[in-house]
Amino acid sequence: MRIRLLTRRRRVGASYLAVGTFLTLILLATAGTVNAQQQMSKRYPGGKNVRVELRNISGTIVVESWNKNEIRLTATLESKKAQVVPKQIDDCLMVDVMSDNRGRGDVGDINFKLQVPANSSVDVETRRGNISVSNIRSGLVRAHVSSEGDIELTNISATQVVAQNVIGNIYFDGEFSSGGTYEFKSTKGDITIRIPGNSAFRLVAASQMRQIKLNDFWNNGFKTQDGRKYVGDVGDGRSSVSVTNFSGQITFLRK
Amino acid sequence: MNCEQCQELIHDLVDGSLSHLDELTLNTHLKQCLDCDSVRQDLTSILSFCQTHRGEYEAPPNEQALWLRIRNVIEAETGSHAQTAAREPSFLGRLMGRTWELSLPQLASLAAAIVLLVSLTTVVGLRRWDGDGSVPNVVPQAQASNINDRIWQRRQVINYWNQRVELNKTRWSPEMRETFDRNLKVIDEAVANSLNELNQNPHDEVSEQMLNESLNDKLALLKEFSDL
Amino acid sequence: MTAAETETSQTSDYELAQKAALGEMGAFEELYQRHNRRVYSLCLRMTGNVSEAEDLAQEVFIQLFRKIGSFRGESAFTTWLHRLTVNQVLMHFRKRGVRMEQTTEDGETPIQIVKGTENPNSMPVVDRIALDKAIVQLPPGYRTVFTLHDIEGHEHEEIARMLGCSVGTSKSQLHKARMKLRGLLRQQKASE
Repeated sequence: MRIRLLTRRRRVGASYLAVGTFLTLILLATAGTVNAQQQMSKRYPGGKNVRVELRNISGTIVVESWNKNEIRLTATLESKKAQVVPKQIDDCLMVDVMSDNRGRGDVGDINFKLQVPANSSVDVETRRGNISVSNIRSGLVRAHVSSEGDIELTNISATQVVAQNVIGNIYFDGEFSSGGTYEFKSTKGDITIRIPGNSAFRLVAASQMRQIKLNDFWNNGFKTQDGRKYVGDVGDGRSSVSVTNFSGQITFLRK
Repeated sequence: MNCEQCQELIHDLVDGSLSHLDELTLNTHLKQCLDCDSVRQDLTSILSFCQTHRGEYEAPPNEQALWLRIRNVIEAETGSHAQTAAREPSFLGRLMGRTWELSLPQLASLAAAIVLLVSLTTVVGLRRWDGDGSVPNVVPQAQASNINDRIWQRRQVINYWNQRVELNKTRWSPEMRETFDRNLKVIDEAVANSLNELNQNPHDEVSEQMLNESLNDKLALLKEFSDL
Repeated sequence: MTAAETETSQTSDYELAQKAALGEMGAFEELYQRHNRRVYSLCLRMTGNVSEAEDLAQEVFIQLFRKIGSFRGESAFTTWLHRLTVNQVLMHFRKRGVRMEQTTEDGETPIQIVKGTENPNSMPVVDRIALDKAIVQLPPGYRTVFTLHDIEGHEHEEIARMLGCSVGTSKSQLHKARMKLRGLLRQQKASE
């Protein structure tokens, strides 16, 4: 019995030791990761027509508005050899990760967060990674993922919106301005558009897999080609909306 | 003269379009103002560099490959035009190339014959339309040949960019390579699916649109990754 | 040099254009060989992007082949081709939604008046690499006018016609472009 107890104690001791070692290793590993990452944060003055242009290679991009007339750019760089050299020309802030890192080989993920005045034009793209843009009221919001990554555009009011990826979902929550153009395109992913019930637009929606749900925005005027393509006006069709995906759902929701 | 006026005139000075009087006034200011004189010196050296090197041009990354791409597109275009042109004389050329001399009764008979022919064609056409809801058979062939031409043209360009991607791919991280391959596969599946649909139904506009979109997407993917 | 080579080198652009219009690919290839660098360089300077410039140069030569029959030799072939190239790039800018108006309207961006204690000797020696690097950073509107006037040597009247703006706007854009370029070259020097 005594022997058994001792064995159990030894086992318990060994377990504590193992757990301790494991935790220490995790801590060390995490500390290593933190050290390897670099973070930069810079502020730039805003102007009358602020425009941000960001070309990333890999990583997430988050753009949100704030109530200051300046731009704050925060970048987390996974690799030490990566560099980000933003350029400001007039009211336009440009970041081109590709040209900033030419000849440096693989520079890993770079995650960006941009805080901009609400009236900023936003033009962002990445070869892969998610893009999120929120609370923008301006002339242009363009989010382009060359390959895979979700795109989320929330509380957007812009006269031109373009969202495109190959694999990944696209979510738009905002409004269509009169005379504006809106283009959403994915090869494999769901496209969800949430707009006010009184929105007026001309729609061309195509999905090879027949998964188009216009819900409250459907009317008898819509022409359809066996459920794979819908063309028609909602209201007086003041803005132009084009939605295309190959597989995945296209859904219109009323807010 | 203040600095603002002076710096406006400096542009005319370096362009050689300043009047003698203005030049004298400007020179007086430049002698007293180091900042404006520095602007003049800088602009002069920028312009003089541009003028010296005017006519020196940079070559495209691969002149020969660019020429091949151009030639492919042109040949594809002229090829399809040549086909159309070759067909035309057999139908219209012979008919329109002739001089017709007709008497009034002949003309009246011809007009009646045309009216009869048009009516018959319309009736037959409408019946066929009502019958199976499709357009006559001539269209699919022309349509199919156009689609094939376009696909062929597009594939030439795609091949070029594919080669560029393959050259650079070894430099990418394994994750980037996997991402690229996965996405290319998804697009290729979409292309194959649309082609399959089109083979079954050559009138299918949605499949044609999807095919175009997918080929465009493939080209865009290749181009965007060829820079990495 | 062989007789055939002498003949080729003596064939004018106009003659080649006429032959190309009749479908002679050899003549068109000769035109490509003579002018591809000029076209590509112009596209590159106007866009600042190698891959875009290559695509545009390709499109220019395809357009050239389509339109070559309309070249009557009233102007120099190079001038005609140049105009075709500029139009192609401008069309590309419009398609891409590049806001030319931001930099082609007077008064939007005031010229920065240089004041203060600048070191007059701090301007770097202008070289091709530094200049190209600075040109790329110019906004598209500035870049276009600077390329057309200072690099290519066009007059303001001609630029105004090509861009569909007034001579005054072309001048004012050029002045702003030069000053911006000067600043960029100085920045480069400072960061070295």
